[in-house]
Amino acid sequence: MSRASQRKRSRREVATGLLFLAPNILGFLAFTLLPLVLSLLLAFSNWDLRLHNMFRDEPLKFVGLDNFSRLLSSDDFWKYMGNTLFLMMAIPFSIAGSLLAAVLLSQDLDGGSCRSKWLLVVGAVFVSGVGILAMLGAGVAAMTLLIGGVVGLILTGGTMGGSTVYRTLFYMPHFCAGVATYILWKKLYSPYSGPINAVLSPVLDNVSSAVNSLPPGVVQAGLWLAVLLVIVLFAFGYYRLFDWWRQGDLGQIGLLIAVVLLTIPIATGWNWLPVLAAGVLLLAVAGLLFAGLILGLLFGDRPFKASADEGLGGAMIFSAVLMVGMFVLIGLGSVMHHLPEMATDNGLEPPQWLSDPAWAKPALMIMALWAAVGSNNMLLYLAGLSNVPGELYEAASIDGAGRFAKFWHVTWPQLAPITFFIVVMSMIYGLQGGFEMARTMTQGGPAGATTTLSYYVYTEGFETGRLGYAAAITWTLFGLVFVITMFNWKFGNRFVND
Amino acid sequence: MKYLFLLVLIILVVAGAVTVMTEPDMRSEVPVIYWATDLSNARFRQRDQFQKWLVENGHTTEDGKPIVELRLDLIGRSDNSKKLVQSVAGVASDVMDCSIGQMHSLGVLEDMTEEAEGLGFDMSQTYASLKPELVRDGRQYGFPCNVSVICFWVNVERFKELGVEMPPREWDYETFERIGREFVAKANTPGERQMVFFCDSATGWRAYVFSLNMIRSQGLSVFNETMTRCTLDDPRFAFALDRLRQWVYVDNLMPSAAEEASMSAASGFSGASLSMFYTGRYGMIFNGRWSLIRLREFEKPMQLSVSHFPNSEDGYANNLVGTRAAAVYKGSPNKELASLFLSYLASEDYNMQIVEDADALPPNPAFAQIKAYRKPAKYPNEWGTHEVFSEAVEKFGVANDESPFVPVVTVTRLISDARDKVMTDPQMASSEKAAREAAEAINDEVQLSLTENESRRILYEELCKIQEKIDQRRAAGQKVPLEWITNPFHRKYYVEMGWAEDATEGGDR
Repeated sequence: MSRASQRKRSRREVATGLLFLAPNILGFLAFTLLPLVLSLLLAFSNWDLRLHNMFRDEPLKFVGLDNFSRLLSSDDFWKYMGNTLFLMMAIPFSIAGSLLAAVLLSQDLDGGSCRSKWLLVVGAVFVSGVGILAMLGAGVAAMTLLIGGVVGLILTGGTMGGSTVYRTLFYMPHFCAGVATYILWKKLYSPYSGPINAVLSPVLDNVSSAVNSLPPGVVQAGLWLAVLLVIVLFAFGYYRLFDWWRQGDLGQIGLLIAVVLLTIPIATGWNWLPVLAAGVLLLAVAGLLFAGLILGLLFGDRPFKASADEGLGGAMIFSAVLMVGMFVLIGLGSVMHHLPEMATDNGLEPPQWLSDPAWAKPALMIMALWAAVGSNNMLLYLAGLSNVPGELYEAASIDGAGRFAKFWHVTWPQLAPITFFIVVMSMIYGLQGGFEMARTMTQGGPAGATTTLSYYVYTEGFETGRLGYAAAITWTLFGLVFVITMFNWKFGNRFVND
Repeated sequence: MKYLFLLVLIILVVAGAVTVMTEPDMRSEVPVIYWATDLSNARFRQRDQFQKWLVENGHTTEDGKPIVELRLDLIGRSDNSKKLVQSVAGVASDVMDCSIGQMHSLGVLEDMTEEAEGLGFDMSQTYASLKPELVRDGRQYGFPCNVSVICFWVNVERFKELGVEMPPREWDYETFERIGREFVAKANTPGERQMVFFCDSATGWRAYVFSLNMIRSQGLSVFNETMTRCTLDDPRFAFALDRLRQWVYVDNLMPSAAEEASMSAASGFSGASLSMFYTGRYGMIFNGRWSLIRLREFEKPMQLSVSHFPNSEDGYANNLVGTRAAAVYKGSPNKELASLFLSYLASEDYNMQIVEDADALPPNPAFAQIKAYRKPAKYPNEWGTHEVFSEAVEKFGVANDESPFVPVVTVTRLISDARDKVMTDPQMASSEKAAREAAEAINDEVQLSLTENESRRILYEELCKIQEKIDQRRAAGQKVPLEWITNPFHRKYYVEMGWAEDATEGGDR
């Protein structure tokens, strides 16, 4: 074949290929790229549907950065940003849940194993127990019957069908249409007739009787215990960071960010504690530790040097975990202090979930967690686990590693690229998400407690008609997503490769 | 592969052509108009009846068929965004049920003043209290599909069974609370979870009506006389929030949002409230005349009475009146035909259908005086209830105060936030603080809207000067010309208090 005919054929193939791609490319240009560019322009304009539409001749004005400056000085924006970030605190838990589910589901659960026989027995006991209760007419225990029956059937079915049954069940939330699950959860959260509070009520009653039987001072001592534990966590965090810095495993940037993260719970939480003395004690000890750290950094010996951004990813994860732990302890301490007065003779009241501003966000987080554990993240981890070379486990076994050591030194590092991908995607979805949930379950309420940034975009764009301002929120959100993703990419990626 | 590609392309082109050829509009021999309305069986009957009405009134083609075909575009009651987006994009339905205020602010509604006079659906054909809802700057933009006002339906048998005094037709807060406390005390077993309530919950739109009626009974409204400033930073609003909280959490007269969520199956009009009312779990429900649509479906006819919204002692009796108004879209290619539909809404045929279906009140008040409305032969158990609703509109009805400087949806959201703060967690904000924050947020929105639109600012400044004069006159104890006042509540209030200078003529805006 001559070179000319080869060229002709090659051109024809390119043309054919382009023809096939044309619908997609045209679609992308028309429905993605063009709106994207327009929305960027919109963000710098005063486009308001009340002023600018096909029936209004008000000229469209470019307002420069006005929309953005208004946004950044708006209390609503920061409140909804806070809501969005609060809801995103479920991300680490959902990733951990997905990993745990994947590890469990990668186990051998076929019918032949000894464990499976035990599961079969437990399942059968549950099912027969339910049958007996039903025959005895245990109507008041309907919820017990339902839960027991479902657990029994799952265990029995899983034992017979192997891990495929469990994998399918775990992945089930992902099949279900979002709105349908939101409505279902709304019913589950029903304060007086929902199953969640039906289960919580007797537990809280027992807690209440236990609290009432103790002198109030004993229960309230829990606050001081919590403060002590916060101090221990804080000191431990500083010690580890300082040690990493000394050993050359952590650079200045990583140290600075990790110290800031670690200090946030103290700086904000001391004021939340119900006893002033406890808050002051926390602040004073933390201040001393901080001074000690500064002195150590200034005058301490540092045999090994590191680049400025060395170890940033690891230090941030470490500090973030401690930060969440300290927040939880501060919250628990406050609850312990108020527990005696809360535990009246009628028992502790279960939460009013979606109608209480304090509980609405945690309620949505729990639901999101349920959906996320068995989501695509779990599938990614399952795929990742199947790719971990068996010889690594064998080598670890020869070295005498136990189950946890194998997980920590083999599985976790091998899954690091997948974890990195999941973290990046979860943060992107987390920042953009929350709209459908809030729209269906709470309408952004009560008192704006579940209004996220994406919901704010909707209300500004389609309720008040301020499209320019809504576009500015969207691009601010994009900027945030972009910066976080770049940060992840720069530092998280290195952490993965290490 | 290229043949496959060609084949796919040909199939797509043919399918596209078939779709275009079979489009509904192309099969109609006459022009088609669309009516964007809510999903209800009655709409289908109304559509069919409109076609008959056209024939009976001579709006026909040469061969005697209706000159226009009406089709329904059914949209969820709460989904306003679809209408909004379609309107500004030029593709909205020819006729739409909407908030005239919101749609007029977008400039998407056709001025119907001349057509209304020519075709007999001008303001003389409906309630005067609806004028603020239908008229903007002296021009009429729509006509009511029905007229809504909310009162308390009473389950008479339940009160008799418990031996509790029957709620009177008109009452004050003290009587409301006294009867309510007695009702819940007798209907519930002490020490057990409360299962029976005096009335259904004040959530959503009904909560807004509660708040508004309560502050208006004390002479306060959301906005001042010229609607240039939100006036909710006032002890009277804080009082209303506190009283509502007391009714829900202290007296337990009505369920909290959480209790309602536990009881409600959330289906159909008014969710489960009507079923709870029917079974006696609620002694009363705060709802419109449209409740009868479902109440009539229950197996056993209920003995019913209706009470007005309670009033503070020596307060100003009032009730919020509204309408599901139909308006003609400015971008409609068939505006003249669409205006025929508004003419149909004013007709006897349509009014009688509303009377018989009990879908709120008929647009024309004359039809609320006839026997078929007051004493429907099929439903003697309802006798004595219907006239309370028409009385609520005619005697006490006041339209919502919608400021031109802030979207009504923003106002209701901010008021709802204030109420949520006080109702769900008083530690989050005292009623005074919540009232102050709501007023500040609404006034911030007013100021923001002025920076967005210069012509709005000019109007605002003019109105502020008038407001200043009103304040001076009121401070000096002088009467105020009615034409200075744009707020519908204050217009009525000033007239009835004798504070208006020209209460009978010349004061109409």
